Amino acid sequence: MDVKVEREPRLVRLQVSKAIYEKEAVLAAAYALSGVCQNRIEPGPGDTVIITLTLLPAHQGRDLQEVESRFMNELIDQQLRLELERRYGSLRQLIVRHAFSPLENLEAEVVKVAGRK
Amino acid sequence: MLVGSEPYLLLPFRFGPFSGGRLLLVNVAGEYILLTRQEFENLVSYELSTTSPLFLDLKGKHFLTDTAVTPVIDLLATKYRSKREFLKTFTALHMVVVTLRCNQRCNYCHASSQPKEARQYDMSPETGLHVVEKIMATPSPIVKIEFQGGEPLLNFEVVKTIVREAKRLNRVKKKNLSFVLCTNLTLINEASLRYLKKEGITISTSLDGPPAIHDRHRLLRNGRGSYDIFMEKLHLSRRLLGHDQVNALVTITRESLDHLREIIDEYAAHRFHGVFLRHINPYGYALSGPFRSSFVYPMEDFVEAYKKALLYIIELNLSGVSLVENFATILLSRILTPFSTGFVDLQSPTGAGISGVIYDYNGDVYPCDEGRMLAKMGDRRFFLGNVNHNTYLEIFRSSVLQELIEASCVETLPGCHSCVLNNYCGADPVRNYAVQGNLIGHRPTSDFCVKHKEIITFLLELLDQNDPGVMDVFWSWITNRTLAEVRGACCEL
Amino acid sequence: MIFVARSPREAKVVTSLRREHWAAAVVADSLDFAPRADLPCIYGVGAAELAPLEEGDVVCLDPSGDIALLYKIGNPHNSLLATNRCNCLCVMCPQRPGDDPPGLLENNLKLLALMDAARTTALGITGGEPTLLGDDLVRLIEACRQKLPRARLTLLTNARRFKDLEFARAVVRAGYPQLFMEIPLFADNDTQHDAVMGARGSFYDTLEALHHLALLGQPVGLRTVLHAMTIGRLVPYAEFIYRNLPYVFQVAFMGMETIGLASDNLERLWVDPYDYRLELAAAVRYLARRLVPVSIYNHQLCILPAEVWPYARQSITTWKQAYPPVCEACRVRDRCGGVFGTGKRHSAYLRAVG
Repeated sequence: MDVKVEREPRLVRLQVSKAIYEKEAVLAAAYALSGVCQNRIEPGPGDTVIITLTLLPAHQGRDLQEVESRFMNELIDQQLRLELERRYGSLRQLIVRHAFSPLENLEAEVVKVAGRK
Repeated sequence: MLVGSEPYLLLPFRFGPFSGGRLLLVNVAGEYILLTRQEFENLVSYELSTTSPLFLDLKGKHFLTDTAVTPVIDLLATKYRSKREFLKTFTALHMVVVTLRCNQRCNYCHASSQPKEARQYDMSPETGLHVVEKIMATPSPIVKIEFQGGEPLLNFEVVKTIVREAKRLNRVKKKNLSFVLCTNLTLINEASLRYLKKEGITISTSLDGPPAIHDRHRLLRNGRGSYDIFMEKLHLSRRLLGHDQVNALVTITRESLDHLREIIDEYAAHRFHGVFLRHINPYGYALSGPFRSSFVYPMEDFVEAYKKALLYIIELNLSGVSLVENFATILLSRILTPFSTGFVDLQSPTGAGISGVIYDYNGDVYPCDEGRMLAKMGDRRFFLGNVNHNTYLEIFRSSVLQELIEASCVETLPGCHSCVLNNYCGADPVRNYAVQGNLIGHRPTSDFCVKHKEIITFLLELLDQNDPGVMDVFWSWITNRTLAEVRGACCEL
Repeated sequence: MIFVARSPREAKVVTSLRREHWAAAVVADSLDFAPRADLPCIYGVGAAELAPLEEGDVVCLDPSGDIALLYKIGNPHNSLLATNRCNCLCVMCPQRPGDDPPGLLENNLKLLALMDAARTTALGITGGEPTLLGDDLVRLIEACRQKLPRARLTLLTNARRFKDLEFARAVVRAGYPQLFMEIPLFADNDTQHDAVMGARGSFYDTLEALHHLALLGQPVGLRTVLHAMTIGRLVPYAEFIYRNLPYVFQVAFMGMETIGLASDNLERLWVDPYDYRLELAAAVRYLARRLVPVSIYNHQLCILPAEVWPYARQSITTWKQAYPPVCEACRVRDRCGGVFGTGKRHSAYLRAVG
């Protein structure tokens, strides 16, 4: 199980594995919900991190269940973005570089970052 | 470094959730595609069949390749560059506040406009000449000078000075130079119109809707409404300048939200080319006065009203009344065309200072009107310099501008950097500062973000429906043609 | 250039022809006529064959007695066959590639010299693949421009050779401002385009070339030929062009002429145009909305949705154009380009529009 959930009246505590979710993804997901919740992120036991989402006073009426699933969806998407970015991030940079100052030997650069031409 | 064992190579894109449980994917050139969750999972786990129609769709739009990589990177780079062509025209829009005096006393700027006799708020001819000198020093090959106020007709001599001097300098500079007079029209007369005609100056004015709506906030100094005299002068202006030489902007207050249809009908009845449905800016003097409740209202309410209004405008167009909604047109151009669509209020990096700049009556320079308003209220955070005391480089290499650029690239802003819509959107650091206290801002609580996410998504939903009539209307807006022309009436070779 | 002698009076004129004016004479079978010794002449041509010929046309007289019409004066469809050779082998090529006879370039230059500058407003340069001539193509285009200053010159090329920017520059310069290029593009992806062209790599070669041509300011049009291998993705094809090549002057959707390889491969290529008419209309509307000039070639109005009639052109070369009997009662026959008289198969849905 990669996520452990504890629910209290105004907050939800999620314990997730760092082997699956990186810090950057956790931070980005917490940021996305920071209009609704106050977020606390702290190290958990073993290889985990604990995120505590507490509804902000202005959002007391919100459905915590919905907040929790929004967070989890966001977390998964953010983690996937990180992984995709590792695959094609260097191509993105190459495109921008080539757009504004055309590279003499594009093919060699492509081979360098993509492993194929 | 990628291992070459996958059947295809993914090319950079961003993704986010979309209606119907689908995902929206947008590549670096702004091309998009909608996938089901299953299709998306197959895509990223390399399980798509390379001969499936979906695979070819993704390949044709450059989301992936299973063959050559280099030519695709080349194509993407070309498209990426074309989309950012607006960066080439560094500072094209120059707004000049030739006076703070106004003959009207509209509720949304009642405290910033000065009475008719307060001549100390006029731009002096000397300052005007310095303004022109700075304007014409811009590297931009396109220069548009907009005269604002107050009511610029109250200091018309300085308008004329600036036009004369700009044209004189342009004999050498040879820029694409144009002028717009932003006026409430009520003081315009045959003589001033003949001058505008002679100099090729167009008019941008304000019309809030039918009389009851227009006269609620657009008042003359004697407290009376301005609608009747506005209409009289509108007709005079069109008669002397030509129908299409007068455009109008609408300010949407809380009261207008329930009456957008009537406002749109008013624009259509007076055969305006377009209408620009804008949310009123929630800062400046509009915030403080007795009319606060008219001007401060939830963005969600605006967005809902906007969507309905847009559908109504589309319906009007389909029934034969041509009227463009300008905001949708800008966003649709970004989504649907390979071309660059600069728009000062929604750009990355920000348009403030980079695409547009404003010169106050006393020669103070600000990156945008909001920066000028903040200064009026005591916060000179965005002051760039003064045309009478500073050089062009001192003003345009100001550290303020550099900060604005750094704080307004959606590729790096928190909340924007991974947003699937960031290709179509932009940042407004001055607004962030005014509303949220710092240049970077906080997207999860930003109503600027709410507005653009909601409206762009709404447009994408309409595009997804792909109704031929709606598409024809959209393209008539984007390509500035009539519906009949879009449908081929004029294409016999 | 020929002189056509149909009557004794005209025959008399032929006897006094001067060498620099006349290259050949064609004489009706009833005439008793002794030509000048140095004037090539063909005798005894039947009146029916003679009828389409007129003064100023250029024919090739074969020793076998065949007369090939090389140039029709005043006609907008004349062209020079630059070469039979090709670097592709398109599945529907109407004219199978082959070797060139010796002296082809010289013959083309001679033919060019015989054309009427005042009455030639358009000239095609076709192949094969004309760019295989290399520098000779530059010479040929220059000669065309000098000889025919009023003519729009249309080069039909797959453009692959213009991957070489310097060669592209030389050709563009040679033809400016009269030269227009028509370039085939068959898909929004290399796999399908290359399969049609029978040449791997040709898609990206052509795209790179197109960028070079755009850089050089060369006006280009794109064309695709509609058949089983190209009709599957017409809207994505249109979208690809708009997104990647928005500067093209025209996109042409062409009906297939069912001769040559198209005829050989007919069973796997043939799709009745009626069956792809909706996809075609969608692609045409897609481009027209976006201000990309778009044309439909070689299609009959009766099988096209009326909304795209404005984009249909009378594109079939006059001497190939035909109207089947069903067309006689058609109300829009005059606006319709008809069918290829040379074609092996036509749509089964041809009808008279009432």
